[in-house]
Amino acid sequence: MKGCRRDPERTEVRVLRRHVSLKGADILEIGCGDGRLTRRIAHLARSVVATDPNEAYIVRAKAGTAASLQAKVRYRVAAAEDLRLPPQRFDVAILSWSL
Amino acid sequence: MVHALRRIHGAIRPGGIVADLRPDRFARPRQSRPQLPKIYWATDGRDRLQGVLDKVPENLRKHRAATRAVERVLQRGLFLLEGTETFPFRYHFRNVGVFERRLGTVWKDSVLRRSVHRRLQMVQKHSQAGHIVVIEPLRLNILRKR
Repeated sequence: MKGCRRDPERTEVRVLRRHVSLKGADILEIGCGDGRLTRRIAHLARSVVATDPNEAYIVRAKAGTAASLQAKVRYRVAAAEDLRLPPQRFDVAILSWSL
Repeated sequence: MVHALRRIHGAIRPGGIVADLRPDRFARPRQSRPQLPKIYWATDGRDRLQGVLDKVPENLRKHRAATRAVERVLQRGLFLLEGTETFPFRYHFRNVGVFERRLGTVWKDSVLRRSVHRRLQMVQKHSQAGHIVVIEPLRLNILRKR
């Protein structure tokens, strides 16, 4: 939304990195929305699977993801309850305001 | 929610982490008063409190249930609570109009009291250089898979 900035101080990702090692990790992000946090962590990760039940958000997330990150980020439309996930595939799962 | 956490538990490697990031509405399920986002007018490097942003009962119910779900999976021994941290998440709105648009589209679960709305309009009228800051208290729970 024009005229609205969300966490330009990057407090969220700073706090997250203080507790979780994201470097080289396979990350599952649930509730990625328009990819705000996804884009901020993707450069650190080995891979990111980012999901959200809202298709319009996923479309925006894909459009907003830099070409350099597109090889490691996969977006999926799904609710947390309906996710079909391979066993023991991820190092870190981030519940982004989704629980 | 417990069901979703069980699925996620199966998808992460042994010793893996779940980072539960969400508004710190209720630190405990039985906490009576929720923590609500605070609305400030920021000008001259200072934030001046104008009021709080109320939430509809459904939003409060959802957050209380989330806190309860985390408690349950910890009790069942699926995860170990390794750490927790609360911190402010800041939204910056250029003016009252942009803030109103957000309330009408994305923040439909929020209620802006008339008195706070009037105060924001008034302060904007007298201090064009400022902008609105909404601070949502967030909580990060670090759950390690057992």
